[in-house]
Amino acid sequence: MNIPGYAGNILYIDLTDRTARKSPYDPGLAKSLIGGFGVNNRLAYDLVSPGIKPLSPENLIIIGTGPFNGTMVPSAAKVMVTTKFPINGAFATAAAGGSFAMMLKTAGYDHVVISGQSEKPVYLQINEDGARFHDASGLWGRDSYETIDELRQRYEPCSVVPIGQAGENLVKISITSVDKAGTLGRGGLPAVMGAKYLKAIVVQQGTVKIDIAHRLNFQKLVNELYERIIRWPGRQNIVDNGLMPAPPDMTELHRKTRAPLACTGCPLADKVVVRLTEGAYAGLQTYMPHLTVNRFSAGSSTEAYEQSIKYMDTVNRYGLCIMNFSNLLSMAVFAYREGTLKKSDTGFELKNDIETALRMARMTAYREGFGAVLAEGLLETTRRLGMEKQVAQIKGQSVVYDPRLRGLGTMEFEQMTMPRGAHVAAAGSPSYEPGRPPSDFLRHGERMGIPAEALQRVVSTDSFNPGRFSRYSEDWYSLFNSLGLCNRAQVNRFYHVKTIAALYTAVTGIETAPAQLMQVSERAWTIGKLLNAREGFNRQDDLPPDSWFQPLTRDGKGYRLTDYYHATNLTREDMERLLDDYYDERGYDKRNGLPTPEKLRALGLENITI
Amino acid sequence: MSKQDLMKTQDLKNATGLPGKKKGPLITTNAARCTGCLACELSCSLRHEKGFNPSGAAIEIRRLVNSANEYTIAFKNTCDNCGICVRYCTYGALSQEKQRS
Repeated sequence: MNIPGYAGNILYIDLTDRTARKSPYDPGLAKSLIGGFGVNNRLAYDLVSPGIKPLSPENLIIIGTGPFNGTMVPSAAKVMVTTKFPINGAFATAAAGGSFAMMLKTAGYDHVVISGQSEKPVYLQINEDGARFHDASGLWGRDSYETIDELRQRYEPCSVVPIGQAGENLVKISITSVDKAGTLGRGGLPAVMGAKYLKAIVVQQGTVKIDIAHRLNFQKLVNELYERIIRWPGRQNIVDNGLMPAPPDMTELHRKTRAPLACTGCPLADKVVVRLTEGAYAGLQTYMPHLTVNRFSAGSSTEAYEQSIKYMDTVNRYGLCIMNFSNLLSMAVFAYREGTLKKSDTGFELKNDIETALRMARMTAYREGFGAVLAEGLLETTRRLGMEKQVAQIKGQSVVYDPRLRGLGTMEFEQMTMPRGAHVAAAGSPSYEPGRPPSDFLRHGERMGIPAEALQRVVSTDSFNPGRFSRYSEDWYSLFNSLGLCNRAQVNRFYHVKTIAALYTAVTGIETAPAQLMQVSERAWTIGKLLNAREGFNRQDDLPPDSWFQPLTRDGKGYRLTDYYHATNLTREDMERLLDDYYDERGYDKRNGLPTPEKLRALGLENITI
Repeated sequence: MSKQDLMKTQDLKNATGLPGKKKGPLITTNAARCTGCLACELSCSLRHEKGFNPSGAAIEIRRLVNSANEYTIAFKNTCDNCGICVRYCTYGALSQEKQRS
């Protein structure tokens, strides 16, 4: 293939046979689904049989980049990894930054497909010559940061996706990172790697050149973006404080101990390196996508900050998802206090302190004692604790944005329809912040390429429909992830669908109108949906958690499920109606929540059967 | 530790990635401000290679292994101080005196 913007090859690696085969990338595939997320979904659909077990040799790990990766398009560093996830058996695509995508393309590959299962621990070294299989017995048992450090000694300049002990021990709430900074694979990607005895994937920078079809026009578009980004008053704050600022009492301390870390080609660095020079953990140096504060004890702000850093470092090294693990840990501590969980179950007294947290993290990563229960994830933990009814989960993943506290925006609603289960990523909109006026949603919708006739349905003069809006947020996400663009709020805000279409045309030379591009991203999303429909997921799996219809008590106050503006309470019937609206906007069948034959025909997917 | 003082204003209007005025004033580096984004290598390779290939860039950023985010910045013989890397360094790690016209 010689479409500019692509490296031109797919690398197929089999861990059972220890073979690697380089195959030309089909230009038709790239044109119909762009790359990254879209092409990963198609490869998964074509190459994985339905009904396989996530931890079996038949599961694949599909790595994908898009035409913007490795170019100067600002913040185009995202690499996509698609697999069948152990937490819930859903096919999903994880996304992370770092330099993996750029390195992979300079080595000559747009995608990598990893199949089979090794007999003993190995790591993969990918470069221009193909892939080599190395004995990883010396790395097995070491944490994810130690693994990266060791592999950097051997292969710099390189990018590494390692697994920690949690992945080795097939923990379902495991996660990993690219280059220590960008989290990757919530829902147990590391367990899939661990089951294959794959300790790490290293890609070395190569010398393959990524061509640009219309260089001058490309440069003009990139320069305009750079000019706007540099002039943006919010930029300094992002680089100094990250995407999620520290709480007020820790801001000063965090600023003193942190430094920004950028993914490839990103002028909006929000990854963080923290170095503690004082206190109980002096000398500790760690990495994070953003600061997560856990106030374990009633100590000072400084102590709480240092403990949070120590906790993040520990959890990241084991390769446990901090969001999932913290949630399960606090449930266990709560159950212990209530008496439903006893010392005979856990082996020690559970308290809300750093010692409990670190000990339980270790037990979870190694599946020791009660840690083996947490390792299985939310459904198993709540079953054991008798807390099924209280807990908000969708497709086995804990809800991240509770609409009872925040009102039902797109981030809250879309947790239901995300094939991956409740997650953070796919439904960005102005509702990320409270109280934004409908005019903001109109502007945002126009930027995402919602057609004018649809925009009237999606946004009204005094409100917006989160079900209908989510459809377009998902397609927007699908577009970014197929191109390799980061869709974090501070990046996404600079992109208009017209800018993206112009950039895509400049990079690839394929004349493409915004509406065509949005149809491609809709197609990419729908194949992801079909992958999961084939596994039996349907409307039943998209229903809201029962607990959303009970009041949530926080700090002595009760919160009910309401719309985004907190104007009306929402009932189960209201939520069902919003789901109907979502499917309607997607052209899916309301009864089962799946694409209709007409929709599949319109997207050129009529040959795909569910 | 803090990497502040981002580059706030830049003249990118004439940055084309095409060979322009060469042998400009020396480029000075402040590696402590480097965040490892590699925009310099990317922009340089576009000029020298007419496509993106960081290994073909005349500027070379290397991560200090076992360090959190510290880098070395070096220039190869092919560098002619054209300054395109400086224009795209948004973290203030590269600078160059203004060209005299």
